[in-house]
This record gives sequence, C-alpha cells and structure tokens, in this order.
Amino acid sequence: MSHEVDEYNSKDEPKETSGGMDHSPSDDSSDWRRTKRVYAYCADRLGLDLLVDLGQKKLVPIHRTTPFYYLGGMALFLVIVMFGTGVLLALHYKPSADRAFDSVQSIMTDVQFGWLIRSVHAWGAALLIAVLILHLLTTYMMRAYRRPREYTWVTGCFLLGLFMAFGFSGYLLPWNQLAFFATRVGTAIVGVVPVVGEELLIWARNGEDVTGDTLARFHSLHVSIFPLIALVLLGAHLFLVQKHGMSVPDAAAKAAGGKNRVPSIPFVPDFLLRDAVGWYLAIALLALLSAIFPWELGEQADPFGSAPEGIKPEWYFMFMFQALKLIPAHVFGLEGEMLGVMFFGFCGLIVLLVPFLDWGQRSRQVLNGLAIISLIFAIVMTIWGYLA
Amino acid sequence: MATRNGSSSRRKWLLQALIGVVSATAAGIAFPVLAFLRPRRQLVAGGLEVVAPYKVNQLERDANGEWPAPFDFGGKPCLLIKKPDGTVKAFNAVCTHLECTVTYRSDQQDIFCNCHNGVFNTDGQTVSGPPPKPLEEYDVTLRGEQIIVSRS
Repeated sequence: MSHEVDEYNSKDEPKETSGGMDHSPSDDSSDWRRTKRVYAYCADRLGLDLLVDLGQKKLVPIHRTTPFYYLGGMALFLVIVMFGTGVLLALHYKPSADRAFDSVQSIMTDVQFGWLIRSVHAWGAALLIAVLILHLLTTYMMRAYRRPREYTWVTGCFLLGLFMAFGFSGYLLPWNQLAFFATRVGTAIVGVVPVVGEELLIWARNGEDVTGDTLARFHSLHVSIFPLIALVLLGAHLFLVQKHGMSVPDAAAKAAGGKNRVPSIPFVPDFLLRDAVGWYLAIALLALLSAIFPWELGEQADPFGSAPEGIKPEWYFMFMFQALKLIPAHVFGLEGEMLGVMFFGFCGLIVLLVPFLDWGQRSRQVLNGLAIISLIFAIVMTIWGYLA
Repeated sequence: MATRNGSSSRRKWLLQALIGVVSATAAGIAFPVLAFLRPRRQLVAGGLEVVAPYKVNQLERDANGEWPAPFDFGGKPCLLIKKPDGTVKAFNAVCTHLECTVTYRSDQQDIFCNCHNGVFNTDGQTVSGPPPKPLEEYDVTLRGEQIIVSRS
C-alpha cells in the first residue's frame, strides 16, 4: 500500500496546481490505474474528498512563536497514548477493594511488559497535564482566545479540568495507601463547598466514606464516562480549531505588515511531519522515564490505618495541597479550608472566562497581573510543598 | 381554544402536548437514573460498643517505633492512646480538617495528621495547623486489661 501511495505522490506532484486526483498522469501503468480506482471508490462512498480538501487547505502561519502550536498536537498525541495504554491496562485490572491492589501488583510483576504499560500510562498522565498547562499558558500569551475563538478556549479549559479529573480518579485505582488518602482528602475538599458540598461528597464517594463502593464509581468514571466526555469535548475543540484556523499573534502580524502577509506552510505534510518529530521525542521520553523510574505501587490501602508520613499528592495538585496546609483553621469567622476551596474555584472560573474578560487595555493589564501572581503563587507553593 | 384561526391553535396545542409528553418521558428516565447514582444505604458496621483489639499493656510502640494502628469502630478508624499517667483514651481518628487518619506521637505527647500537619493534644483539642474542630472522643471502659470503646 505504501508503495502505491508513494507512487501516487510522485506522479501527482507536478500536477498539483491543476487539482489532484481527478487527473490521470501521463504514465498509465496498471498499478496507478488500480490506485486511482480504489481512491475513486473511497472518495465516492466514504466522502474522503472532504478530508483531502481539509488537508490541502489547512495552513499554519510561520513566525517567532510557531513552536507553541506544537503543544496542542503533542497533547493530542499523549491523549492517544493514554487511551491505548489505558485500554490495555483494563484487560488485566480488577476493580474491587479486595483485588485491585493484587491485580496491579501482578501487572507490574507477572504480566509481560505490564510494568512498561502501567509506567507509560502514569508518566504519560503527568506529561499530558504538563503539556496542557503549557498549551494554556502559551495560548493565553498569544491571546489566541479572542473572537472568534472564545469557545476553543472554553472547551480547552474544560478538557484540562477533565484530564485532571482523569488523573484524580485513576490515582485511586491501584488501591494503595497514597491513593486512599489522596481520595479521602480530595473528596473531603469537595465536601467543603457550601450548600451542595455534602451531597456532592456522598455522590463522589458513593457513600460517606472511601470504600470499595468508591473504587467502583471511580473506575467507571475513569474508564467509561470520562473517556466519552473527552471524545465529545475533544471533537468540539478540534472542530473549532479547524473552523477558525490558526490564530496569528499581533506581534507576528505587525512584523509581517498585516495578518494576511504572515508566511505559512501547509499543515499536510510540512507541519504534520514537524509535529511527528515532537511525538517521537515524547515516545522516547516516556520510554526513558518508564524504564528508569517505573511507577511505584506502594502498600495496599488500609482504610483504618493512619496516613503514612510524608504523604504527598501528584505534582499538579501540590500547590493546592500546600496552600491548604498553610491556611489557618478560621479566617474572619469562616472555616479556612472552605475559603481556600472557594478561592481556587474562583480562580478556575476566571481562567475559564478569560476571553470574555479581555475587553480592553485596562482589563488586559489586570488579567496579566493576576496571571503572573497566580503563576508565581503556584510555583512557590509547589516548590515549598516538595521542600517541606 | 376556540379562536378564529382554529387550525393554528390546534397546532399550538399539539406542539405543547408534544413538548409535555417528551418532557414527562425525559423526567421519567432522569428520575430513576439520578436515584440510581445515589449511593446505596450503608449498614453501620458494628454497634455502639466494641472490644478493642489491643489490651492496655499492648499500648506501646513496637520494635519499629509504630504505635498500635487505629481499628475499625462502626466504619470509622478508632485511635487508642495511653498517656504517661496510664490513662487510656479513644478518638475517632478521622482528622476534622480533610479526613486523613491521624496518628499518635507518644514521644511528643500529641496526635498528629501527616497530611496537612494538624496537631491535637492528648485530649483531642486542636493545638496548631488547619483543623477547625477537636477530634471526636469515645468513651473508654477498662475491664482488667481489656479496653471497651463506646459512643453514645
């Protein structure tokens, strides 16, 4: 097949301007005629021409910050890795409080390459969150969320939230000590929300305490409900990216003397091939991390044992964890933890609404100030959390 | 309903009836689904009283320096401590901050939460850190070396 495709490409190249597939090349070899027939069949029955059109039309502007565009493709690639490894893990995992830990242990020790698949899944999650955060920050810096791309931003924020929820729910599945207490604390944080908190907590835990019932619920969220939501949101996000095309930063447009004068390259194959280099690097990094630092399993959860010393959450929850440690029990007569949780919720809401809050020079300065303060806050809290 | 334009009002009525029926169907599906999502009723394991798995003379640190771990009392972890004067106390070991399980530090004479550094004294009162409330204390009755924990 690849041979035929190559042949088609090389034959078609000189005729690209006159519009691709419909024109037969001068050399009517039987191979070529067969390829053409297969293509015509697929184009007619499967609507392939729509995709080909899309691939031929999509352009990527080239400027100083073009590398930031790779982050979205990188995130998409990692999501595919997560789906693939996740599906594999599900073939050996047993979701019950009695058997979950043992089944993960056997994935790590007995199942061939089980350690690799699980480690790639766990490291991939960390890497995905990191890439998503960078994707969000660079999109913010390029101000690519402006009209008409408000909802590309909004769906992106929901995707970040969803993947953090993926991380949180997946963390419990091995049913080890860290997972157990992380889930107790994480769901207790939900319980602090005024009015609806207690009800939410009971729904999240599937009961008052974290038990095997919680594991069943988290498992079904992690492997069926969240993936479905992810597909819908991802579909919407990618559709909007295609619909509106790539955003060009103001500086790049100014440097080139107008938005339409910024040079660009075709998405297929030029940009895609560059993307692929990044994906290769990601594969290499995941393999390296998994081989050198296979993901730990720890000790089986003991629902009545004390929390182990030096307990810590995943790095992307560390800033929240550290902040909750520092907030005093009572602030202005309100419970400190409630204030903290409300504060983080409010910050999340502001991030979500960025496209609608950026309406002029002044509001942009306020947003930038807040962004810098929260970034410094998150970094300081994270480092503090690891040093403490 | 009897307006001049009979057919248009009939259409309107039919549309409203349709919307009504579809909404009722949606509600009829949503209700059992939402009710299904609620956790099942949980049986409270154990009663109001339990004989602790440790005797008074077992309340000391083991070779690894570990204090006897909390045990299941009615679905909650119950922590036993022994003060230097020999008094035995029992607490609900669930931290009042964010529900980690606390641990007894006999050398420092306090109860500590490893998650967010909450410190309670041996009466369960908050000393420092984020916990907003004291620990829930259970009643302890000694029958010889046996420890009976109960709650009202």
